[in-house]
Amino acid sequence: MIYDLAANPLNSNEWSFPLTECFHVASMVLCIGTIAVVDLRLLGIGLRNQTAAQLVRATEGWTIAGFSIVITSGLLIFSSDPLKYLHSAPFQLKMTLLLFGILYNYTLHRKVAQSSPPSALRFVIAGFSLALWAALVCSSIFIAFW
Amino acid sequence: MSIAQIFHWIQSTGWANALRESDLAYPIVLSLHLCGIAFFGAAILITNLRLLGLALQQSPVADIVRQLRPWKWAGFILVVTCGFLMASAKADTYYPNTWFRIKMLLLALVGIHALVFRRSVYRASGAVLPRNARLAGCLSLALWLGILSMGRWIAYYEKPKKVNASLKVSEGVVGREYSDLGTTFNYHAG
Repeated sequence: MIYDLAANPLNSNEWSFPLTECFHVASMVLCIGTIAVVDLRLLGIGLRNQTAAQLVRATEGWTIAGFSIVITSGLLIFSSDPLKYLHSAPFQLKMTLLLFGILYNYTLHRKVAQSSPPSALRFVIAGFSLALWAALVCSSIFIAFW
Repeated sequence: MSIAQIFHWIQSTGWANALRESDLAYPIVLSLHLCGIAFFGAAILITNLRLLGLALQQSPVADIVRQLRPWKWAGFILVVTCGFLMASAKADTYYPNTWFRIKMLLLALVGIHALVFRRSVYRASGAVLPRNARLAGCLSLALWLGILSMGRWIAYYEKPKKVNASLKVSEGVVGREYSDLGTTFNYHAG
């Protein structure tokens, strides 16, 4: 069976691809942004009147919603030209970071963010989290420039 | 000096030339732009979710807004600086771009929004949700979503009358041109 790229709606009209990208970017803010709020709190910046655990509770639903939309729209974008993405080094890096980032966020990161009293590891855990998601964002941009 | 001439002058400056001609600088500035959006967009998001009563309801609005304010400004300056650099590299093509113009208009509306709701919502103290809080939150989210969308659409703008369909399906060849991303991908369909 040959997959006909031209039959994919993302390739056959002018607005569906950019629209999907808009959903992708907006939901990226929703998931990475809400994680960053917790990271900055762990570093002692931002919402300091709230505990990191409170911020996790307040944002976790939004983070999940963000991940759901970002992955769904990402799969759609991927379907517009699977071979191009599969052979792209920045894309491979991005998928590795995504898989690792999700695992990290829901295991170590969460455990440290919810620990009371605050864990001594919180600076390392938050700094690493910020670096990881920033690297993922950069690798996304480089897909188009590689 | 007309606005078009100012745009042309910006494009001819040293930094704009350097950014346009470098293979690496442009994607790096774009990456910083997007990282800024990811990390600092969160400050706007959390503020608005609080105004809508959808997160951190136990904390007063004023408390959340005040704590996030410096962070919001830092992010805004980073994102605008990167955006300005990217627009100056291609100022001549940005000037007639309708989506770019709408984006600038929406940014101006964000400023007006801030002035209108500053006293009644964003600087309000007290535990009670200000009366206009929901309205201010909805409008702010709508404006920022519009700005984000227009930002993405700038890359897909085509000058009127010029026959250069971004998507050409002929003889089994599909070519989508990423005009603003500086790369053209072509592949054979089927």
